[in-house]
Amino acid sequence: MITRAPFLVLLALGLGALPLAAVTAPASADTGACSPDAPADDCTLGQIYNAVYERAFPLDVATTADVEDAVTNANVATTTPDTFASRVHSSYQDFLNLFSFAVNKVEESEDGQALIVRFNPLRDGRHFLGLSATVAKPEVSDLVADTIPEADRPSDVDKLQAGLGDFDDVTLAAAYSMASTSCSWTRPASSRCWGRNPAAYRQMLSSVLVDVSDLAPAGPDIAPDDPLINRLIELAPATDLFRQKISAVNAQSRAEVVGILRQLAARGIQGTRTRKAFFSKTGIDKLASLVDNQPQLSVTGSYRDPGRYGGPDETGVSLELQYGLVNLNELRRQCGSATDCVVRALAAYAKDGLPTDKFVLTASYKERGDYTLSSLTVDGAPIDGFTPVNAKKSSELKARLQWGRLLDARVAGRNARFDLSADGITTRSDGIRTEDRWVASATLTVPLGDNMSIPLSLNYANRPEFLTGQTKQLGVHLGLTYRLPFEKLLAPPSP
Amino acid sequence: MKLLGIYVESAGVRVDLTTRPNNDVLTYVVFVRKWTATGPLPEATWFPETLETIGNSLVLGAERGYDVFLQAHIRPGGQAAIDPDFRISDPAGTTYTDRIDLPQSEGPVVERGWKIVIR
Repeated sequence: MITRAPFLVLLALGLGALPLAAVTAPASADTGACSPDAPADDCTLGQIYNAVYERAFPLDVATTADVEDAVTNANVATTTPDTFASRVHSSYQDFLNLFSFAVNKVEESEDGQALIVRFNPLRDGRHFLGLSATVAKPEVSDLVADTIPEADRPSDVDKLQAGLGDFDDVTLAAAYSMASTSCSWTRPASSRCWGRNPAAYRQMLSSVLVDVSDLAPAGPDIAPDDPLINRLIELAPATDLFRQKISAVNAQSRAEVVGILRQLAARGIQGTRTRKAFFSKTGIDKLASLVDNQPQLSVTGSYRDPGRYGGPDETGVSLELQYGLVNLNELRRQCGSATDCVVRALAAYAKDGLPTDKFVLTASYKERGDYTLSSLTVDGAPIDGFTPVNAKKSSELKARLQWGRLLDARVAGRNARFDLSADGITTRSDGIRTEDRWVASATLTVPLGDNMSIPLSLNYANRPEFLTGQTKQLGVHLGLTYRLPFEKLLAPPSP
Repeated sequence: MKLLGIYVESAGVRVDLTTRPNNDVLTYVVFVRKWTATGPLPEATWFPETLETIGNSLVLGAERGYDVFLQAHIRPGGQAAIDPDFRISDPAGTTYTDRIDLPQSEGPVVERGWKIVIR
């Protein structure tokens, strides 16, 4: 018996592969058509050179934007995006234009159900404030819909929905973050640099790059009067050699020109291999992690009015502070303006690894106001069997803290370690606590050689059942951890 | 190093460069090397702070030639690229403004260069 499933799977895979194949082609020179083996007439000398070079060092696959474009062009949407955002956008375009001096960007959400207006951000030094207003497609909330008798619910909800205005569901938000616009090695270490935007650190990191480059082995230099260059100029004379088309070169000389391009590219490849091997060993790649470990602070606040039938108003605020314990600020503290010290530190990170310790503090508070709805009318008549809504104020507080670091104290030749973590949630409804769970632990890990350590933990929970194996809110655990010396052999093979 | 262009120019011509990197370029630097009768010598080092604002310039001397090469430290896993505006004030108005893709295959530091031959 022949089943259809495998055929359908193959068909799906085949169809899926079409756009993928279309988007994974290299983005720049047409390396296929400009292959040195048989370059097309309209290929430039530069494209032929690139075709040889990119065989050894291919370009990245297509960018995300290219993929999105290709997928958009190749796929037919199964669900048509909502027209709400575009309709509101076009209706109020003229009004928004009046405020163009204050509006930074107006964008429609991907599903078409919300229009977001971002106002010009306010920046003062390293303080950054962004304001936005979001107009979302108003909905009848379940809180209201569930009060309508089930038999009439779909039609009544549709009618209520039709009576909602464009601006019934509006959210106003403000986001504050701390981000330095620039940072330097000479800035006092007491003045921290904030944020993770590479542009803020580019200038200071470039001096490290120069110092690392000074140590790099020289590549195979091609002198301006190298015989290869001289011959290329002789065969294809022009101001801009690489922009010329191969068809502009005398037919008898084309093979020789392509041969020279091959040799130039081969020397470039050889040089890149030497330098790549060097740079990979220097630990310079750790700079990316150091930027990503820079402190980041953001606070956001929002207020949402979901409209007449959208349920209670919502007010929220959240705070996030995080940083890796080894970051550029730490390196500035250690090295000051001595970039040779930074180069040595990078080499040490390359050898011993970069500590992954992080400090994370996140907290959010959300409050829903009272919501009452005593009557509901459709087509001018009250709905039979409607149950009035009387939802009381409720709130939710969540927080998480995580911190750990190696201590200066050394035991058996290794540093002791301290870790702290706390996690919790509290919810209230009508002033009465409905959920309350808070757990915290502090752990001191004392090493006893390479494979053994003693972790000593102090644990606290607001209720003992939140802790495993404890009958009291506060407890102490003392353990012994032993890593098998042959555990590496037991580890699954890496892919 | 991959060459972006080879130009045949006269002494006295000015070369200008400005750059615009994307966020996957952590940092970069442009070295200018002068080829004298005795060999290559460092001529100038150009840093992002100036390259991205007013740009940098060089007037070609009566030497064998020049290498202008860019060294970029790229973010692992990113799609690094720099948009250059490389202009030579020769009669042809030679420019190079193609986007410079900096692929992961050459990371962590990718090098690109323009070679100028003085005739």
